[in-house]
Amino acid sequence: MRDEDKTREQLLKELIELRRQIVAHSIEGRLREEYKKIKESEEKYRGLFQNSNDAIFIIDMSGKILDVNQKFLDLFVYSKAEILSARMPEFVESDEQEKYQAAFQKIAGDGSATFEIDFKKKNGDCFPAEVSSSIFTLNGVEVIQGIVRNISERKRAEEEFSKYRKHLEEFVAQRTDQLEAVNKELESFAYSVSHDLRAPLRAMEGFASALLEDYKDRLDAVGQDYARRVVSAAQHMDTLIQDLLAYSRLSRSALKPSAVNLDSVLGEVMHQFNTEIQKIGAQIRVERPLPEVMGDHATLVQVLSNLLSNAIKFVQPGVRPMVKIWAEEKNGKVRLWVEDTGIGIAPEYHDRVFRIFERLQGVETYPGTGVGLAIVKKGLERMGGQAGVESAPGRGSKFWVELRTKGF
Amino acid sequence: MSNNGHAILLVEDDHNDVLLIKRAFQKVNIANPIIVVNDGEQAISYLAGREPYVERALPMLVLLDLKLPRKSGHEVLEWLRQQSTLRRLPVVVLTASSESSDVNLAYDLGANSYLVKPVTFDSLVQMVKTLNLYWLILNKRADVSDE
Repeated sequence: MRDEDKTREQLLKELIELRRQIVAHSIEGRLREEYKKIKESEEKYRGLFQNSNDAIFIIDMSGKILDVNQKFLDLFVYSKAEILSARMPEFVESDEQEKYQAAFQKIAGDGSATFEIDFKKKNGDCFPAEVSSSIFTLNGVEVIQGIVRNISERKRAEEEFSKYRKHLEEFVAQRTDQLEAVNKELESFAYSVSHDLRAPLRAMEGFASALLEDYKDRLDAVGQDYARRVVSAAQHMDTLIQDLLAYSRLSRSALKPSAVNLDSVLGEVMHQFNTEIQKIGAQIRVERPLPEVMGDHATLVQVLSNLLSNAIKFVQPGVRPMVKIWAEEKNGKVRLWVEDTGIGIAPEYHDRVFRIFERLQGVETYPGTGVGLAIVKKGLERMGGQAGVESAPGRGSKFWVELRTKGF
Repeated sequence: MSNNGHAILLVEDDHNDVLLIKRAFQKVNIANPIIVVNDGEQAISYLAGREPYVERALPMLVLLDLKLPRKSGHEVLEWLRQQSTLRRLPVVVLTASSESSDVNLAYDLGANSYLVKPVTFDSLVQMVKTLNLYWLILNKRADVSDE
């Protein structure tokens, strides 16, 4: 084959290929499509820029404004023409110029910066703003683009919040002082109750007893009865004062629950009641060993002695009290039961018996102050536990107290 | 000054209580004389042998109330325990308060015993009976004298 032929053949081949391409894709069409895409993209970004909810500006490295969006114009209340002939520092509040310069240096150095600054509107009004800006290249030239957010609302909320917090702190401090004062007052009140109010009682009881002893021959039966009534009323009031004191002490003193051995608590209580138990021939059965619970030793002694005292007190006349004490452990809790063979309590009174001064029986039949079970309930509350009763008239009562198991 | 006084110094401001305590001592047949002072300052003057108690005899036991006029029982106790030999005098606090702060402070300041005044006279008699047996009969006394 000759060279000439070869070239012609080659050319022909290329021509055919070119024609195939033109047929396959219209180059012109593709160009048109590309142009459309670019235009759409440009419009899209322009739209994003223009319709953004944030005010956006573009400035050159000298601070001259190149472009801003509609939101920026709305925020600063300027016309586009006015803006485009201005430099950025002109919109910064006069006291904040230094801060602006520093931020500008930072952008130039680091490439971006976010800062808070006060801007000035056309009418002279100022507003705090947060600006986040960065450098980018536009048509081969470095420019700065920034987003301006008006943070007046946020600032106001922050101020309001810190004002409120300060107010709250003051309020809390004031209330704490008041409560401490009230607590002190209560303590001195309790002191004077225990000390001063009982002094006249000792005199009443003491001298009425003296009358009964030293003047027995000169007092007739009625006179002696009166003197005895003075004695017993004074004794009752003393018990009442002691119970109230115990109750108020429980309400105001802070309890720190620690591991308490119920066996040793009960031992203490039994010792306390030893004489009385023997006197009335009560039978107390304790299922030992009892577990350890989280509580306060002294409070538990008080609680259990109140429960035991009730268990041996509220029986039919002539009946020998029988009390059974045992504990159940379940789900990290210990429930201690005190079961008696007493007169029992109708279900409608099961809540009421735990209220202070609540009594179901006359003082004549069963002496008491109506504070004992209130102490039980309050004491358990203060130790993070609970108390309750299961009972029916004539069927005895099962009182229970529940506390966390040691270690829970 | 001798240490063989047999008197009991009762520091008590409530006249009813003074009368009742004296009566209880009678009931128990305690022969020891009871000297009564009515406030904390008088108690200190007596123990220190100041006017008008220059001629006083030292007691063998102090029965001390806490809530007293002028100087409290706690202050009397604090003063007493700072004296060189007087400090050996046994002090039994006899008060109405059972507040643990009072009890603890009394022991901190060197009380030998703490008794709470009972309301019933019978209980007071029982208490005085035990007090007599322990503090006036069984208890071995230390040497107590003035400088």
